[in-house]
Amino acid sequence: MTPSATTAITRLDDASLAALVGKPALENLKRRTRGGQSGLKGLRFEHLFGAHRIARLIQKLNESGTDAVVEWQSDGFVDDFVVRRDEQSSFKGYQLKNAQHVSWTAGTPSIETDFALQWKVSQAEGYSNVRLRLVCSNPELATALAGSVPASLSAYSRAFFFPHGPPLLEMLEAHTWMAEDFAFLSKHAAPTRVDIGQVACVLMGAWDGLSPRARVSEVWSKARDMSPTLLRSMRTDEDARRQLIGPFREVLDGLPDFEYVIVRGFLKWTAMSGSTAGVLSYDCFSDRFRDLQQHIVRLQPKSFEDIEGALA
Amino acid sequence: MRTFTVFASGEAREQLAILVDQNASASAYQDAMTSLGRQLATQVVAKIPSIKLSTVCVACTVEDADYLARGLLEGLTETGVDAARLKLVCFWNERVRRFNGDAHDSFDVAPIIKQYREEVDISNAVVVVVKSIISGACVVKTNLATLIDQVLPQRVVVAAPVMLAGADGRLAAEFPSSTAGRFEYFTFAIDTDRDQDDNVIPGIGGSVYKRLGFEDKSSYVPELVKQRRRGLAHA
Repeated sequence: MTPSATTAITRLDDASLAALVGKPALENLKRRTRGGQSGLKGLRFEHLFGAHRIARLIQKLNESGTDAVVEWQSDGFVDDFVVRRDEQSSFKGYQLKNAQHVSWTAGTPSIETDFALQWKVSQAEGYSNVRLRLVCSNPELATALAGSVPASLSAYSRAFFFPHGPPLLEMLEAHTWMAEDFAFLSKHAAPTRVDIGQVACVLMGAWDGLSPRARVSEVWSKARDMSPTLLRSMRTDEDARRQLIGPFREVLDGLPDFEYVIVRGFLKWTAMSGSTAGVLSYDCFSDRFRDLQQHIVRLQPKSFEDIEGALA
Repeated sequence: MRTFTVFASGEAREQLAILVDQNASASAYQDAMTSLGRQLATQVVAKIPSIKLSTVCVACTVEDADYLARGLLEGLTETGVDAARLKLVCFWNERVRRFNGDAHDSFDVAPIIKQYREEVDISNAVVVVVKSIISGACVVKTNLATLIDQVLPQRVVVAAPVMLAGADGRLAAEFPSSTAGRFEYFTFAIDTDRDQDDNVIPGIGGSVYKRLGFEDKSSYVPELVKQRRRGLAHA
């Protein structure tokens, strides 16, 4: 057994697993996990689902400070995506099904069997709050599965729909709940669908780079490192405004036909009767922003055109 | 391998040859791009004569503004499009690549960091997106989707001197079919190969930034934008 560093959660080794679920189930699990080692690349359903869960978890991290570990194919019976909060003894496992025919009971082993085994293993590992989810990309099928959860699993299992197939922009238009979850992370207060899609892409890229296991905070950091220009700061705008030095503010305030505002940690500007606009590609807490302030103060510009090139 | 399209006149082929000539100077390269923009305009007007009566919104990236897009705008006015009905949108894009060094570009994004946009009612306009080369279609997708985020234009023209084979399909795949069905493509040459740096071969002779002589495209303000903005201020 491998004890967790922080809590009473203990990952079971093979001998303990065999004793718990039986040797045939363990061998079946080993076969499946070997098949799942090909990584995330190219698996858009899994990518988007993972990125969307992570987007929600980042929001939770921001609101409550609660971090979590996310895993892809974590050697479990329900492991397409896993969220562990060992400190809270919480385990949430998702099984993703991108198929037209899915049943709780068909197949060997059935999803019902996998869910029951996962619950057993997670309980034995020390998780007191175990929740398992069957995620289906067919909306009608997802509804049917949600309404037919086997009684033996119903205390900890649910089924729900998550889309797959159409272009990302179309999905974001059709499923506003998804768009809103990604939009929260955009540097734009009112992001377009393109902006939102780019947030999703960067999260998918960051998760792909860190998978199969990472803390949510690590995925967020990597995503922001990959693209400082897309993702918001989690610090307050008041805090961001405090980063603006007096002489810099004076210069900007004195420019004719130029307006600026701080949004989600970024300086957003509009000039020349609104014809030219942008949001800086780095936030107000960055070294680049500090350098920009010094540059513009030195420049002592008299018009927007004098600083236009620097606003990038 | 390169295949010329039905739009590729002898003159267009000559200009494409200048682009791929590594000994061509920056100014020769710029002139060739301008000429190709003008020829794209000629082909667009010939194929869509009704464009002469339409409001036309030309969308370009900063690096293409002063040459390819300028040529296109000039070509449109020379072939009968009312200059007052020609509107320009110029985007400054960054590139974020997730899979550097391999062929997977699923997570490539091209966020817009600033834009110059003349007032235009997109729903009553023909949108012409022009780019020096379209390969992964990431930048074109971003800029086009930003323009038509809320409304669909009458027609969407996607114009580029060179496209990588399959670029039209890659672009269309990013949009709902009802939107992608409006796209009309104009190009002179379709190439099938890329080198190890992901440049299309022969394409436009490598990185358009280097060939045009750009040092920092994000700080560059095109003369075209400056001129048109001055014109608007005095209108």
